[in-house]
Amino acid sequence: MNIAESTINGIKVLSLEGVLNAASSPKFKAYLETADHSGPMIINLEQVEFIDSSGLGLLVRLARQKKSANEALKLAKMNDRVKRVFEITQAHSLFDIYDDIQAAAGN
Amino acid sequence: MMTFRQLPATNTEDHSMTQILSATLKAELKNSRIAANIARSTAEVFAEERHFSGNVQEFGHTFELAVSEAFTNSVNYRDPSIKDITVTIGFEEESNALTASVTDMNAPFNIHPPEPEITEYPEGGFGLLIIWKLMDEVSCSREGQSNVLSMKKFISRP
Repeated sequence: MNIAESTINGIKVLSLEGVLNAASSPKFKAYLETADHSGPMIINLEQVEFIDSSGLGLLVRLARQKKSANEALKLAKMNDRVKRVFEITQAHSLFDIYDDIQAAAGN
Repeated sequence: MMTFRQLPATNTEDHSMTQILSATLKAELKNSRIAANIARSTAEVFAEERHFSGNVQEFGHTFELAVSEAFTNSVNYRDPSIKDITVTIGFEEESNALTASVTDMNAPFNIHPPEPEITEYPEGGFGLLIIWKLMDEVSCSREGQSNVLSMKKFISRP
């Protein structure tokens, strides 16, 4: 899995690419823990081809941290396969989900 | 190492909806992504050959995700002294359903764990929940020292 970082309207955007499963989640977890990711954040999931419960659990963990810090976490550009995992677990109720990055950034 | 064993096709005049029509396929795998991809491909081909009227890609994703979750469970709940685990996946075709099985050598486990309380932002507990939500029938049997988790999805109801 690849992680790219950018900024839009002062909001950090993490763009994930590839598979977010039990094998790749530790890489994303380490990335989140080894740098300062305070402040509002958008996760761009457009290039995530597959996510399972391990990847989902990591995003829920991040959502909990952001909620505790009273910081926004928004998910953007989910494909149908990713969206399905969030919906069947009800995890979509924990996130603000947007169809595109601009909308997530408030433009 | 990946080995396949394909059993002879069943040739019968009985076309009942639960008749096993073709073959059982088994593979011993160490990589969950390979297992998941085999599951997706198998399910998509199965659905296409049965002229499934629904979404073939979604049917494939159902098996890809379920097998991935089962495989991950097998790895996560293995004997801690075992570093290199092999999981066997299998598929059984019926005229109107496909069953994937995931076999490991772990201790018995509960396939009915309590569902995670989503409002508490749980990090875990989603794996079996996803399998139950995706599949029409889920069961686990003990065969010798092995767990065999079976996951069935119908393409049409009998």
